[in-house]
Amino acid sequence: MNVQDPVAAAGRKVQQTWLQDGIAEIVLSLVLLVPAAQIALEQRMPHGPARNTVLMALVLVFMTSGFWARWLTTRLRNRLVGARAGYWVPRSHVRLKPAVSGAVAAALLAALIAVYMKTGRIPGWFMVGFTGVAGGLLLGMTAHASGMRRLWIVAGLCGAGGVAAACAAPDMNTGFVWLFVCMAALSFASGLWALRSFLRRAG
Amino acid sequence: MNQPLKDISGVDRVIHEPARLMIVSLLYLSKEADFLWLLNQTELTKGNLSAHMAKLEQNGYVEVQKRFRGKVPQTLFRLTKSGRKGLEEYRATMKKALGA
Repeated sequence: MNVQDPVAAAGRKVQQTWLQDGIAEIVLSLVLLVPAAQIALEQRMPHGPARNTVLMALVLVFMTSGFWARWLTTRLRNRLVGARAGYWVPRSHVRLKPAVSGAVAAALLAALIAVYMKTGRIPGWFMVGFTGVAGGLLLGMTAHASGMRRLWIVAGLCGAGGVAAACAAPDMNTGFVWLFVCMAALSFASGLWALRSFLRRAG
Repeated sequence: MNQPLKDISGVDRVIHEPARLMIVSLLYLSKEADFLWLLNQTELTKGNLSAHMAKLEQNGYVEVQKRFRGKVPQTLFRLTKSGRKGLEEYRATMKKALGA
């Protein structure tokens, strides 16, 4: 007998609600701009206490993004679409299946080890491409778990962006800046399009 | 009658009703939600949802808070500890009985 756990079914519904209006992607784009800004400033700002303070602050902002991004998403959602969609504060957000995410993590780790074994080091260009592909896979898993088809497109473009940045960037740091800005732009565009459609549908 | 089937006969009927099971499951994953959100998620009618929420509140599974958001009245719902426990027990009983 195939009986679905009601909480699992509700979880899928909640995942879709979390992603359907695009606000989570808009906030994700802000999160992705933080490491881009950090790497860019690290290269360009002159050494001194101001540089150290700014870089430390950005590291802190990125490290705490798991908390503030969720808070900001909930606040923005309740402000922008709350009157139409209702007020809601989630307890848990998108959770990927441990078996699938474990298998993907193992495959990525195996790829890193294989490159290290072959070349004796991990080249910078490879790290850029690897990060793009890993980000694309993560988004693909989210798309699969939530059933949000537009995320498949964003996932594919993120992976392609990673490969393109790896091939075209003159060095690793520039490659990472390009990659994170590209991922942020994709996420923002997808989120904005979804928000516009959502507001139109909701009337 | 074997034990799992005996257990199923003693299942919590307040939670077992499909619409209420859906509502409790949604609230289980939420810190709090208002009436409109639940209405959109469950696709029940206002009267139907209202009746189910009243039943859940009567049984102490849901706590209700009424407030104003600007000038608009808002009814917030939260699952109580006994509501969470009730759903967890219900899931455990059904899993055992159905071998899921």
